[in-house]
Amino acid sequence: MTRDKYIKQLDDVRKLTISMGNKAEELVRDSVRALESQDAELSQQIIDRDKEVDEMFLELEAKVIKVIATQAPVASDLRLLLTALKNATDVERVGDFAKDIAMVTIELKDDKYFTKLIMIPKMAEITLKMVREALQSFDEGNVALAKNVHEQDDVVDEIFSRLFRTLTTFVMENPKNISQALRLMLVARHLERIADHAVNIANRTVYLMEGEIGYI
Amino acid sequence: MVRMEIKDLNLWYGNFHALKDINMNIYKNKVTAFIGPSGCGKSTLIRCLNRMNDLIDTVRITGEVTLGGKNIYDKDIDVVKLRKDVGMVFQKPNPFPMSIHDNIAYGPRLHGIKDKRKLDEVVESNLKGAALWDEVKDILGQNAMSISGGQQQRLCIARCLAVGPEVILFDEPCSALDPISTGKIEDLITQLKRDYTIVIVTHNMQQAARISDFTGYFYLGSLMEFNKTKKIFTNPDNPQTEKYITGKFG
Amino acid sequence: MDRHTKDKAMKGVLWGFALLTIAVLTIIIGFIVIKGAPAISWEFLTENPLRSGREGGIFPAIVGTIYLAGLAVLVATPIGVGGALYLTEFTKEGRVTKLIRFGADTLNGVPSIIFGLFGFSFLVYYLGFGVSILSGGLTLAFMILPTIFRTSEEAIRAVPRWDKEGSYALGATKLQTIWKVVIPQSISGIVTGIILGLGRAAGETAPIIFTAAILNPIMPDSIMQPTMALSAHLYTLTSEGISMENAFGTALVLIVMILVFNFAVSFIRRRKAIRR
Repeated sequence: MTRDKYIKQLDDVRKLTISMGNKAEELVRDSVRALESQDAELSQQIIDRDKEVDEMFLELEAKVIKVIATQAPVASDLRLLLTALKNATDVERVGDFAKDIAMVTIELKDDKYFTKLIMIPKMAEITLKMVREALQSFDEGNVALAKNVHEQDDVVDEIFSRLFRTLTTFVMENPKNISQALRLMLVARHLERIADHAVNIANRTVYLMEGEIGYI
Repeated sequence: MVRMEIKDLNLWYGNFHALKDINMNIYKNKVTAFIGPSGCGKSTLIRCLNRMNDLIDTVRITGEVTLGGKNIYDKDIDVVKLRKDVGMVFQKPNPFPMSIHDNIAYGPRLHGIKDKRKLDEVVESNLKGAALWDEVKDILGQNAMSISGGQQQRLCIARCLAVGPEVILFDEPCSALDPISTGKIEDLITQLKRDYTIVIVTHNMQQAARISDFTGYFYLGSLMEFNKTKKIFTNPDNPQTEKYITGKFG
Repeated sequence: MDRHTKDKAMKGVLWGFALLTIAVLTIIIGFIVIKGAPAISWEFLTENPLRSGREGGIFPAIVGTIYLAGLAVLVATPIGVGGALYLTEFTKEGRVTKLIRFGADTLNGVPSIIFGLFGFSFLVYYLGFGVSILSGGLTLAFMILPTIFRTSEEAIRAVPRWDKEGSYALGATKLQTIWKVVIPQSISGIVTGIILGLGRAAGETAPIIFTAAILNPIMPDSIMQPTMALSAHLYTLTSEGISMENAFGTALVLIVMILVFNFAVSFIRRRKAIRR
């Protein structure tokens, strides 16, 4: 087929984006696990592993620029490259959030949790599913899956509100809980932001497939 | 605003059906590009717009091409006047083997202008219009074959402008030129569209993307898609178009 | 023999042939110049022949040759060039055009004596023009017509298609394109054909011997009268053994006339090219 090299270049960009997303997803999963088991060592590893995600981002950016400069891509090829680059930005932020969650674990390592963590893992489970499905929709060009991701965001927001009220109650019962409560609130906030980035990635898949700019 | 319309145009070279049911509009003061692989009929079509295909014996045409509402294939049309109104610049620069001045003056002289001063004015203003005046103003008497290829092509453009057309047809004008000359001519076309309606055939897709407002994609004699250039190159309707412009053809 | 030696050998052989060609030309011309120069004098060029050409000059023959060749070119040129234009610009390439071309080429190869015979029976007798400049000139015209026709046709066909297209695209009619683009670009070839024709017309003996040439040194004052001619005079001087020296002198004059004409035309063409 004509333009073999070019087609391979496009494919490499797509694969690298997915691979980067998978790595970030792993980081989030591990960071929440570490938070639950108060594993400071794992958390430190996570902070180091985030650097790999950052490096992959730079690699992807360089690849995209090269293809645009040398191959004059148009139409769906161009949309693929732009989408991949923007998705990579979102994924890089997800990695950073995983790192932030790991840092909270390290800060709380000597504290005892005043309650068993239930809502945070629940949020994480849904958020991780959203990230995985958003990336999958990009990989497959699956618009239906992308729209599904959008809907799950409402659930995440709902849990977030409930968590806010629960933590507020704990603080009112015992003001000494405030430092832990604030940090756990931060974690919830990070997870909520990760979910937003997943929605961005999903919206972009719709642009990629349908060619109409209209996503947020 | 529509300047020319092509309606149900079919063309045969002998038994070969070269253009099939072409329907499209050419818009005033815009650049319309025809793209497509070799043999798709784009050159044949552009030559229908000024009836240059009349020079070929075996050609048969059905359908209409209208200019300002009037069908140019009507029996009472003066082909000579048509070619004044619709000018053409060819793929290979073809200046006449006479002086630069006489090349530009050729057209006006054909149509009756004899006054030497008027001719000089026409030569100067059209060379300026083709962005060539500064480069040749001191060598107007020199033979036109002595200037470079890119300059010769701009000379041909000036020669075409000198008869006062309203539509200018460019048949792969840059394919014999180097990138810098190509760039100059592309800039010129972008300027010219303010005063003229332009149609360009090109096999260079980036060129079509760069300078045209509308693009028509042709394949095996049929018009596969016609749309604003921006749409064709970001999100074409026809998957065949997409295959062609991303180079995955064949 | 290795390849390089073969190359050198071939080069040597070809050079030898070229040398031979030039040598032959030089020898012939040199021979004529040497043998003919003694006969040349002002009187030779300006006076009538005396005693059947043993003495005196060849003035009437010079004038006669000019008349005959001139008439031939005058008649053959418009017909030849016009015909060539029609064939290339107004007809499709096909069986008819190939037939016409074949006919012209064949006519070119017809021996000049046959033209003479034709001229004699048709022009002199049948049409009753008698032995005259008209008969001789027309016979020569028929003879050189194919040459002018074919050379013009080649020259006109060589005008590139895109120059004509460029002209039509500017709104020119067929007539304007032919006049302003086709002819100026093919004029070189056309003129070459005319010169070739002229050379033949001036030099051929057979076509004019029965149709125009006489031995009596009268200056013709109408085209219905016969005339002397250099080629015929040369023939007579030689075959009747009258004067070899004068024969060579006549030959020299004929050659010089043709050369001078060639140079003049080249000169004019070069000057025109510069001015453009």
